[in-house]
Amino acid sequence: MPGVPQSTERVTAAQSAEVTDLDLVRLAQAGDTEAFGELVERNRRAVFRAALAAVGSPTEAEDVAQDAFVTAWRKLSGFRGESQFRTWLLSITWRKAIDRRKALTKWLKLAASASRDEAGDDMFDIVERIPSSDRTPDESLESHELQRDVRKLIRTLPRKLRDALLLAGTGEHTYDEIGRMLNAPVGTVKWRVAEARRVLKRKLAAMGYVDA
Amino acid sequence: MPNEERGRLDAAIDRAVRGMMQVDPRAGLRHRVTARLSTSAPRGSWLVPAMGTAAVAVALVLFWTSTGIPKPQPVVPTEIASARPSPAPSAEASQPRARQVGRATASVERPRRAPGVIFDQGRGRIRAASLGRPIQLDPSVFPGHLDQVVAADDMVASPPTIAIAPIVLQPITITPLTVSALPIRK
Repeated sequence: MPGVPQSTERVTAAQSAEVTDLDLVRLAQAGDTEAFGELVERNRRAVFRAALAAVGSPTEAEDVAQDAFVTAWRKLSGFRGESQFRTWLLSITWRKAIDRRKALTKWLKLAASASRDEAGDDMFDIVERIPSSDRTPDESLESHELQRDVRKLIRTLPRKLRDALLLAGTGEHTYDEIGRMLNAPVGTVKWRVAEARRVLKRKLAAMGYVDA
Repeated sequence: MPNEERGRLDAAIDRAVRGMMQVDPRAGLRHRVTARLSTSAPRGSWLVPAMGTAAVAVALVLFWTSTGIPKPQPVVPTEIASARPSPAPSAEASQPRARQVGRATASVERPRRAPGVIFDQGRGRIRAASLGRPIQLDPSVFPGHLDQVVAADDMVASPPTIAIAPIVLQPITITPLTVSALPIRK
């Protein structure tokens, strides 16, 4: 394959911009861990945020991301290039994340029942502990309360609506990728996102917030 | 659509979702992943040899079992064929399952046993035969049972014909372990 480095060579930063994901996959299939490392670098954010949308905790999401990459490495010989590597990888990631979420849900139910009296939180308050990257010190108290209420309401959304809304909000995934992850048509994904927003606004209005 | 035009609640939802989701993984994820790769080879690197080895093993077992390893069957002798001269070496090849071993005996003349002691007191097993000449049991009468013949020490035939059973590998049957609860002592 012209332009593709041999498996014994290392993919340098300069080369990586020219080499496609499929080229790197072919090298990785031949056992080149450096090529696979480049695939990890290219997709780490998308994989991590997909996992985060499912499990809600950055720590858990990173564990899921690592597991997803290692699983992809093991199954790499079965990847035929019929779909994009990134789509295939995200499907693996989502399955891993859902498995982790199921396990976490069981665990959190037990943990929350013990700590609910002290903290007054529900079992999904783990999402609340995600650090916010866009809060500014000059946010008003009202805006702060609105943000807190929106996050709480997002946690109460039905899972199908919440998954679609959060995945669409990562800034890393297209609707097509989200549809493949959720095993739903793109139109359905868009409807779920819009429906999630409608539900949130209706509940916020019921809490007294005005959509000015 | 800019947040300013979408309304306050829409903007709040967008900001909340961004705050929850636009988080980056810790630095060094690539190295942590590649460190784990060294302990987990791609499946294709070992799956093919493993499957090949398993297929060869299965084929050997099937071949072995289909080549007719004799299964031990109970011996119910009804009669003994008439004694014949020692078989020629070529005749031995016609009975591959019963290897015959000649036995050197002393040329001391001993009295013959009565025919009644040929059988082992009704236990259904040929015990001994005192014949003046080596015998050859008719395989049509004792199909697959020649290996059950046991030579007696007092056999005086020269040379006696002894059929030695080949080693028969029988499948091991493992009885499933039944675990039952222990009685509770109070």
